[in-house]
Amino acid sequence: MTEHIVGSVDEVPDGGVIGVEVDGLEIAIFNCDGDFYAMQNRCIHRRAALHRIDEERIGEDDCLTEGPGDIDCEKRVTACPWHGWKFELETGQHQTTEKRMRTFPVIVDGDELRVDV
Amino acid sequence: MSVKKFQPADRPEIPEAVREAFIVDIDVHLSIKMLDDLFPYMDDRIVDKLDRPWGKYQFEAIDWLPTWANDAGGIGVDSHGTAKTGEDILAMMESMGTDVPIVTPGFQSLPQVAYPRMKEEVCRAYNDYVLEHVTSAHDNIHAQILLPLWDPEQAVAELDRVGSEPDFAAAYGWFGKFWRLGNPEYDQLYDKLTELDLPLSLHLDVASYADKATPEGDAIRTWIEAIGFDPATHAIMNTVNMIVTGVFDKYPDLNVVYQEGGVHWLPFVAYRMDEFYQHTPEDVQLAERMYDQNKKYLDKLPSEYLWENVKFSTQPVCLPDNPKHYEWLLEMEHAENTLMFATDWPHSTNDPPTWIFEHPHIDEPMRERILHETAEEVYRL
Ligand code: FES
Repeated sequence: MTEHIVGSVDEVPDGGVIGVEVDGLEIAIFNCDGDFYAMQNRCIHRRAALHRIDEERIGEDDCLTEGPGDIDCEKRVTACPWHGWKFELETGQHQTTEKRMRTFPVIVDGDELRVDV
Repeated sequence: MSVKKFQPADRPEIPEAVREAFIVDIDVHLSIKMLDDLFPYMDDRIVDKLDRPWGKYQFEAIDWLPTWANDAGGIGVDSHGTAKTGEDILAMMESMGTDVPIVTPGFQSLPQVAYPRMKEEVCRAYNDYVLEHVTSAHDNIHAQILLPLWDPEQAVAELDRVGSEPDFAAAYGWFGKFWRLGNPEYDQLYDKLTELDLPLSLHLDVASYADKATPEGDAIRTWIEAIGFDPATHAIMNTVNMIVTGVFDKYPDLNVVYQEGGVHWLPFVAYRMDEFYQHTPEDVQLAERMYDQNKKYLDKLPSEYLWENVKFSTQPVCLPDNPKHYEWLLEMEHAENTLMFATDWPHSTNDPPTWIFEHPHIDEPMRERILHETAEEVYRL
């Protein structure tokens, strides 16, 4: 495993997510109350990029429901923006089945965020 | 054909293959909440009743709707956004890499509303609205004529009124529990559709699961049953009903499209129809359309009509885990002639186009058929 610098802590908003690339691997970095999590950024269902949860929707003001996807910091779970499959941030475990997203250790060193790949 | 490649804005997040392909998406939804937007096109007597607290209740309440399944988006109808105008549809085309969207009305509860005159007014108002505010934004945006399908005479009247508008690529209704389109009263509609060269596109309506007053309906507890499967049973029954009552013998040029009716039931229905027809065909002549034409048997095997006259949206795509199995399904479903690409944008059930480019068993000719060629043959573009 090698540690890679992927950004600084203030680049990932609290309750938010960013997408980074490490050695050709797409990785999503989540921030829940200062705890950082790294997970493969392509959903095991249909390969949606998890970090697109943060995109503004067309016609946002007229939307009746939340979306796309979700980051639930209380439960430490993210829901994929395309079809809402839920994954635990810590383990990458899909909540309904035995399927699992790959996760990576995150190292916070001062302001620096590193991911161990 | 008036449509050509739409040039989306430079969006690096859309895979290059998607950007470069020519994509006709046959199921792009407008908002389900746009009754207010139609008021300027509607009779004052009806607006007066709708424009008050709870006035739209019949349009919005569903007799039984299991909304608890999906807490990320309730019933998920706008989990990816919502569109009310042509500008919204253009933004969707840019974000999804779509070239030609076939816009679907958001009124999937209309069949259950009790007042025919009110519903017919909604259809007229929607059709006027969509021409003025949606298709006008770009030559590639096409809509479907919202038909009052509960009354074939009124449906024909609406086609007389707007059926020649070139921005309409299809006529639109539902395949739910409220009617079966083998009923010969619909022949007047098929006469008109073939005259106008328009396919009849049928979408699931959200009240199309089994009636709560029946044991089957009362037993439903989950979103899985209600939306995942009950509509498909209606799609199957409506398809078989149309075929074995001779609709496509009388109207060989008529195309019927199912949006969100499922696809993988096709092999079973094809084999089962042919098997039954060959064993026990003697009551086919008693169907009114057959009887009135003094016909004893269908001109072809039932499955042949299925492969020639009936088309299906790819969404819900339901990809098997084993990619090889999907290749077999495509072959058994005559996909090169029956399947047309659809996303169901912006619903949480959407199928973005990535699967069709990444699947190892979809070759270039098949991809072209599904992405646009069949749609160009079926829709009036
Ligand atoms: S792509 Fe993630 S849930 Fe479908």
